[in-house]
Amino acid sequence: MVFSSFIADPQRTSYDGADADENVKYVLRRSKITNIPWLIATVIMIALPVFGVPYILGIKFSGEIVFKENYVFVATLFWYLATFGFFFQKFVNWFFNVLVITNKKLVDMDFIGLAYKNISETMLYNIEDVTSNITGIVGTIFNVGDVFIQTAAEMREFEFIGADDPSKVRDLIIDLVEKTKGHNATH
Amino acid sequence: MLPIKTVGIAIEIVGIFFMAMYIVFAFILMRQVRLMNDSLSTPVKHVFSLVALIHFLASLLIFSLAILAI
Repeated sequence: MVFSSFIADPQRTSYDGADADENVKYVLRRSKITNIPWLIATVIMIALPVFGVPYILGIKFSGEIVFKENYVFVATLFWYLATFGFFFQKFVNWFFNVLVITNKKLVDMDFIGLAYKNISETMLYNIEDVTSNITGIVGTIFNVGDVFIQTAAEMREFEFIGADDPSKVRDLIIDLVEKTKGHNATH
Repeated sequence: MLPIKTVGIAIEIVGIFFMAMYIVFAFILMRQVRLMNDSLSTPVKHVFSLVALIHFLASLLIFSLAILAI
């Protein structure tokens, strides 16, 4: 549930800068399908020493072994640590690149690599229109696409790339916006 | 011509240099996870922090082992 790409009413979840009367309604992540390339890379990295280590240990020059067994063992441990580091970094990037929708705001968090962080937010009543699209064969097969959210303020556009069921995401955002605007109009 | 053992040790030292660089990566990753946890608080924030810390400590341990293995 915590590691889902679509979470409604998440428990014990908040974001930095949330108001006291604000509740997180949805947390949306990129589709799990988008993780397949780096998951394949991780599997290849796990498998490489199985073939590579015997080869490296067997390297001889003029009958002499080039690399000591102890060092090759430590280097293999390092390789697996680096593989885990690669996996972990990709995973947390997926986990924390979210679109948070609260009862008041829409917050877009982007973390790219280790050195880029961008957080944008807008009040729900500022949202003018929401567009969803699905492109490509993979997107059509898995129902994965992009959602674009246009706001009135400064003509900003929020992008949510690689969303599961983008039509559903578009619909739920518009429903929340209508509810908020209706609520504001009655006050 | 260099003796083959010297070439082997030179390659091992290059490997240790990469391991030292990896410690920097593991440290930055640990800081990044902390920043991410601060930005979005979830029920698994402590798990991520712990994993990032263990990963950093493991990078230090493997670096030390590599120096001993030369």
